[in-house]
Amino acid sequence: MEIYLPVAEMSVALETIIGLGVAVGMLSSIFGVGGGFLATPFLVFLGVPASFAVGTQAIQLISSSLSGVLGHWRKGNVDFKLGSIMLAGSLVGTVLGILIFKLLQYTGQIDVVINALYVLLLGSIGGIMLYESFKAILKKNHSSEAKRSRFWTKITHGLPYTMTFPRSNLCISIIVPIALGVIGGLMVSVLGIGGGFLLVPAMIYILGMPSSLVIGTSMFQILVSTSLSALLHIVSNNTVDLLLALILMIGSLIGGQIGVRLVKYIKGAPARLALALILLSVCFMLWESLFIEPLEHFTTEIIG
Amino acid sequence: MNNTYLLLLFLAVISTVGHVADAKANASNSRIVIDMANESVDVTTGFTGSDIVVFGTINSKNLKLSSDVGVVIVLRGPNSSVIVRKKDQVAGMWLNSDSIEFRNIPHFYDYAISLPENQLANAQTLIDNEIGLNTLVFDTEDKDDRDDALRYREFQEALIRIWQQEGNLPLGSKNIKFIGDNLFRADFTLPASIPTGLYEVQAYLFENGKLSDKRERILEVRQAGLSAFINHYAHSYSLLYALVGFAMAISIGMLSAHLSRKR
Repeated sequence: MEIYLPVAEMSVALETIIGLGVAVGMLSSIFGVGGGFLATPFLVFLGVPASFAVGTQAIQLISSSLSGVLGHWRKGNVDFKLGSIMLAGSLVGTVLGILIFKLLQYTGQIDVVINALYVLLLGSIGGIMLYESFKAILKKNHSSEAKRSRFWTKITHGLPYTMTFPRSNLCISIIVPIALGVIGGLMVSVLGIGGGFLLVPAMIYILGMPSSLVIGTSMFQILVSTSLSALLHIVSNNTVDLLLALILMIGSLIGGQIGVRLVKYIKGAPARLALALILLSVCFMLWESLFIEPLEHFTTEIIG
Repeated sequence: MNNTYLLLLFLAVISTVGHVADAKANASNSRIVIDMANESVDVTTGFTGSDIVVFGTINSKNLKLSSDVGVVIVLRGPNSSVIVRKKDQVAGMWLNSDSIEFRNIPHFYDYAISLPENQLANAQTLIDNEIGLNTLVFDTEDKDDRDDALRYREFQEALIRIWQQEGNLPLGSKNIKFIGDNLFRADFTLPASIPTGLYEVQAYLFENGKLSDKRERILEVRQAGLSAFINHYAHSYSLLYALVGFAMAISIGMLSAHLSRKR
């Protein structure tokens, strides 16, 4: 069934959008990632303008990160102090991202830049994850706890403005979490993703946070910055289609419940392997559109 | 299809009556009269495109419908400015490298004719009235763009090609179907992705290669129902719209967390 999106002013297949939502919901409940990296490129692939895909994803991210935060908060797995420091950076990153987005829209390169950044991010994270999960499967050491890497300890050692974070049992310079926050905020407003799949390993390896606290804390920070991003996308660009967002959110609600029931069968290294393969296949799909000569060299855009 | 025939029968009666009244009102001026099955097209959330039926009569007591009389119906959407971008390979990647901005291009254009274009009138008359796809004026603000004729033509052809694929421009002319001697109809199809706004329905009557009458009607394509409601709030009360979006996201997020907790 075709459905007409009132703000994006185009029609899309309802089943496809619901299916996309279900896939996103399953990803987030099984792997703890937001799934934006799947939703945004696919929406663009379906013909939704990149600006609407990113803007609408910001609303969908509110619901997925909120449900994540509530779950982790109940178990006490959110470090609000560290999260708030990261948030300071990510709010700056979000506003900066909105400005960059407008600039790219103006120069007509937004689709290309979004594509290229996705290829870069998904390719590198997917590649690392693939390598790491293969190693873990071969060694059969599923229980190895990830630790702060020595390399980053050296680099971030001696930076000013140190602060103690009792919940995470850390005493580190606040510059590092703020910098991570800025990157997170940029990803939210430019790419329409929470960036959990990048922030989560960064918080473990660079900050040295306990991995039990990482997902809840990053989701807390994403929740606030994506709310700001959604607000700015609506007020300054009018590029949020709530009907599209609603369909995606309902799909992802269903997918989330399916995922929760599946999660006990999918664990550890094989799960990370599966996620790595998903990341790499989305990366490949986008790589193709960037590096293979397109059939139609021209594109049109209505500007009013 | 049954409905269409019923409608047509109804229209035939109405239009003849209407035509008589119209003719009386306009004295002998009006030689061609048109009307549409619908005065407006409602774009709702279930919109998948729409058929536009334009019907009309020609006042031809002393004319025979042969090669000396030509009827043209043009359906023309609101004008837009369009940026056409060209991708080129830069360091292995296909990037947008060159662009031309065209102004005042009808975002939708389709036309139906009763005679082959070259028998309607001379080329200049067709150009003056913008009848036919290749008579559309592609204007641009940038003088440099206009001066490079080859490049300009390349971009113009790309725009036509892409819009033809999307259904905003026709591949060729449609035929006007005559029902009886002076009642005719022309069928158009609006694709699902058409822009909203005021569309012009223009009717031309050519006699012996000369334009003898011209009529114009307005067809409003507008969002309606839920769709219009959402669009209106998105643009006029964006803060409220954002709050509704937040409320939606928060309630679904909480519901999702609640459902997961039960497990």
